[in-house]
Amino acid sequence: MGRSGEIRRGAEVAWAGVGRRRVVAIVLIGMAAALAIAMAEHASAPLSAPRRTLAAVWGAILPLTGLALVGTIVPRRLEERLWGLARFGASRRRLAWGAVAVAMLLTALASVSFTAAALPVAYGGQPGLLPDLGATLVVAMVGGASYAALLCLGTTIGSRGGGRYVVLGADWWLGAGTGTLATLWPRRHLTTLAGGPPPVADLSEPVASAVVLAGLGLAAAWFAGRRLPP
Amino acid sequence: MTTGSTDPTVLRLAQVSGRDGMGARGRPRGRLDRVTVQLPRGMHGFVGAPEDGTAALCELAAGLRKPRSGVLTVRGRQPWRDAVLRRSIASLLPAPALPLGTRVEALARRLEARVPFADLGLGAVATRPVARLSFEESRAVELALALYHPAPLLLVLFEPEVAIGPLDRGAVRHRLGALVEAGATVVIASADATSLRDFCPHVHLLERGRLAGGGAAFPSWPRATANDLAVWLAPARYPAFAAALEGVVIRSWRADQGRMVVGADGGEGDLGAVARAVAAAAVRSGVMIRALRAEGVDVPGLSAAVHRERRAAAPPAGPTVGRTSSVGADHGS
Repeated sequence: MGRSGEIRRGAEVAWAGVGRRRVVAIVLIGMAAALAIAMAEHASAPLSAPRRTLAAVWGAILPLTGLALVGTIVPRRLEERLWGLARFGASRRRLAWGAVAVAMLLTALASVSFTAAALPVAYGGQPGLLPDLGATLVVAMVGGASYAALLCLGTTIGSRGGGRYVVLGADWWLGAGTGTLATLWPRRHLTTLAGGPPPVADLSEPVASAVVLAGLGLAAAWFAGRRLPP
Repeated sequence: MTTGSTDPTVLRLAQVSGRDGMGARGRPRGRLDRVTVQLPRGMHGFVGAPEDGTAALCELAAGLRKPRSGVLTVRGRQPWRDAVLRRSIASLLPAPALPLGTRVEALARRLEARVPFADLGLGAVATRPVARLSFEESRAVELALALYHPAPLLLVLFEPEVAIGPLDRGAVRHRLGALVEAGATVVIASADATSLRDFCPHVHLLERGRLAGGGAAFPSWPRATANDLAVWLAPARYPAFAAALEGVVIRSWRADQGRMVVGADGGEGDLGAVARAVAAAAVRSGVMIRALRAEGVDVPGLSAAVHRERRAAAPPAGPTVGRTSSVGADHGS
């Protein structure tokens, strides 16, 4: 099995282990929560509803959904999940990259579906939905993938992969503020892209935040594999 | 198989400490505590409960876990961090771990393991997806894949005679013997001291994570009690049951547990005859038997024997609790 073959096998094993019903349930619960937030925001302040809906969906529902989805793929430590193949001589690192890719894909799709469902409700017929939707869905996809990669990195920490909770807590705590430290967490960039202040002045352009967010996700995915032994 | 090395040691543990993941939700259940042992080619048994570190030993030797301290090597390389080495280590660990998303036969083909599934009684299992196997079936498939590994350097087997579905124990032992003759090293961890002693020339006792004895200096085995039967009954019915027993002798009685051990009169006898005598006594006395179990050498009994012998053989300066054991080349297979 070559290198790319091992990555593919890692993805296949991760996908085979995903509980389909559980994933559907997680996504439906997340979508219901996103719709409820969008309706409530539209009812209370229609003009600012889209911005505040995105902030709530990306700031709360997306991380929790990511946590649940990563939990279905990696219930405990990442390397334990991959042992079924690693025991026969496959590299844990490359298998991990495949498994992380599946987690990123699933969470990105969930994030896109939440955003696509909630944003029209938040707009509620106001103009500007279509121009906003394209860019917002791209951000939702990148944000979902970044969260999944970060949480997968967390599963390599702790004897039972409990590092994912530490990572999520750090994201909520450190990503809520501004400054250089905040630039390391998806929450900060998603808040910025939902209309909040940039973490640092150099990232005032939304595109810059989106690029950093994508970079964070890729770096986390790479480190998740590198933290494992061959 | 690796050849050409002058060092006969295949598996070497140097002051190795580590834990297993056998507890609930992956929590540790047993551990190894600074164990040092060198195992040459051959078949080696480790007696002990999982709490004594047998599961931890298997998981560390197979490469699933990293030792918390010390160095564990297989032919000089660490299985934890050497993917190529793991290809030549076949394992049966406490928790089955087969790659999902494939069928059993396809998996065996990919691993180049020519497993005669039908001959092993696994014909019905072979065509099924791995994800649909029961716990016992998964263990049976894992064991079959290990037994028919194309070029095994080391086999690490945790309780290879327990929960293996339709696999025949005799066939497993026969195949293990053939593998050892072909040059493989087999490490078996089990709580069943009697069965391990039957087919492992080198047996070590793991006790609370430490190597309590074994290898070349292993004491004589406790007296075989395989023809004794443990019987549980209501303590108040003991006199009636004891009076009704014929042709067997009561070796011990624990009133607090309601546990009686009976054996053939004269020491040696047929377990079936003892069981028939117990059944007849139950009918005659009208005593309900709660449970029956064939008595073997259990781990506490073995441990007691080891310590008894050690005390007897200890030099005046006082014994040291051995954590180090080496099976010398003269004892190798």
